[in-house]
Parts: sequence; structure tokens; C-alpha cells
Amino acid sequence: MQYPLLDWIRDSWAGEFVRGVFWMSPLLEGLHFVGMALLAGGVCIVDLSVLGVVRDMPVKRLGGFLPWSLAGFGINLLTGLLLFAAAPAAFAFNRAFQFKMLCILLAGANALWFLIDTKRAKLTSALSLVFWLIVIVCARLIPFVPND
Amino acid sequence: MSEFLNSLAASPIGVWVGESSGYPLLLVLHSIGLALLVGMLVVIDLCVLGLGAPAMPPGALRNIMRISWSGLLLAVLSGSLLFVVDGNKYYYSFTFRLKLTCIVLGAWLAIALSRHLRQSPVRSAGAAVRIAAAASLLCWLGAIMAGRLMAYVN
Repeated sequence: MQYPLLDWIRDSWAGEFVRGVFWMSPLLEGLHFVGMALLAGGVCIVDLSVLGVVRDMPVKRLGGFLPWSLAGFGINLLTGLLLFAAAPAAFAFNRAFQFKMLCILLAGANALWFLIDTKRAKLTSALSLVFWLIVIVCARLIPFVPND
Repeated sequence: MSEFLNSLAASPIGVWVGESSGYPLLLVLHSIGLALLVGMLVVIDLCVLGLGAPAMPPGALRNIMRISWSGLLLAVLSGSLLFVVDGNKYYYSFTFRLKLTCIVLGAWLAIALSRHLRQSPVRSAGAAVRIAAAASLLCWLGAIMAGRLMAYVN
């Protein structure tokens, strides 16, 4: 089945750019992992501190780690969009990729929920860890899951 | 060495990892391990460089290092099994050797840094400590990029 939007993305300057330079995809993937490490580090420190696994971390300091999580997320959003543009159909029809995107949305919604209602901090922290863990698992499985 | 690595690949473990769902499972565990290992150490490095939270209490540092080392353990165990599948290719691979060098250097710097931070607060980190933290970041960046590159070049 043809999806004009995916074709448009594939034929965009971004798609052409990434496909055009043979080392661009490996570089973008490497940076995608770097972003993941930044995001994972920040998220883990905050969530594990709230859950008491990391002890003695003053709660008011936790905000200092968030900018790095956001930076990691930003790097991954940018590299992810470029990687997607290079081969949209390969990702869009992949179940693992679809589930990964869903869990990212859930993680984001969970974070928003925490900003609005800080009462159930331990629950949102635990959920955050679960969602991001699933994101990592799904991402790793993308090459192994057959496309629809 | 070549023959030994070939026999490893042909062993029951090598075959199981290479031909079953063991391989993606190990890759998943390897990714989780590296996320914990590098994620925690990067946070500490950024704190030392004055770019993160201004304080790293010793109790918190201890827990964070413990999490980081369990990440390393997970990555090494899963990595060893992944290695077995095609030992000959990996052993002689430049990118693989580069990756391991970066990891060893990074781990050594992490031990030195955590030892220092147990005695002195993050805020008072001198030039040498900051250089070590910056070098540590470069090592982990190198390890990650070399790791990714392994899928493309030898």
C-alpha cells in the first residue's frame, strides 16, 4: 500500500542527505545511542532517587539533572527524525518501532502527569523507568521484527 | 587463536546464541547494561565539570557507582556471549579493539574519579579532576561510536 506522506518524507532533503553520505547513518545511530545514554542517566538518577534506590540525594537537587535528560531526548529526536527520513517505510511498518513510539508518548504523558500532580511521585517514577526500559528493548528489536 | 575462536563459535553456546532468539535477547541486555553504565558515569562527569547538579553526596555517589558497575557487568556478560558467535571477526577487528580500549580507559578513569569524589566534594574539583571527567566523557563517546561502527566496518 502506498502512503504519499512516507514517500514525501523519503524524498525530502533530509532523506536524500542521510542516504547521500555513506557514513551519515552510522554517525546518526551512534549519536542516537549517546542521546539515549544522556536520557537514561538523567531519568535513572531522578527516578531511582525518588524510589529510594539512590540514597541521600536531596530532592531539590534532582531538577539539576533534568536538562541533560532533555538534551538527550532532543539529540534523539533530531537524529531519529533524520534516520526515519532515510527509510520511512522500513520503520513505519515495523511493530517494534511503532511500540517504541507509543511508549515514548506514554513516558512523556507520565512526565506531564507528574508535573501536574506531584502526589504519586513513586508511582510516576516507577512507570517512567518501565516505559523507558521498554523503549530501549523495542529499539533494539527493530531489526529483528518483521515489517508488516 | 583462530582455531580456538572457531571452536567457540561451533560450541553449543555459540550455536545457540547465533541461531536462536538468544542473539536479540543478548543485544537487548547489552544495550540496557551500557545505558546504565554510561548513563550513570556521564551524570557524574557532568557534575564534576560543573554542568550538572552542584552536589553529589557520598551516599548517592556510592549507589550510583554500584548501579554503573552492575551495568558494566551486564554489558560484559552479554558482550562475552555475543563475542563467542563470531570470535574470529571480532578479535581481529579494529573497531572492536578500539571499543574495548575506550571501555578500559573509561572504567579506569571512573574508578579514579569515584575514589577522589569519596574524599572531596564535587564543587571543589580541581583542574586535574575536571580533565579526568572530560576524558572520561570522550572515552564513553568513543566506546559508543566504535560499538555502533562495528555493524558497518571491520
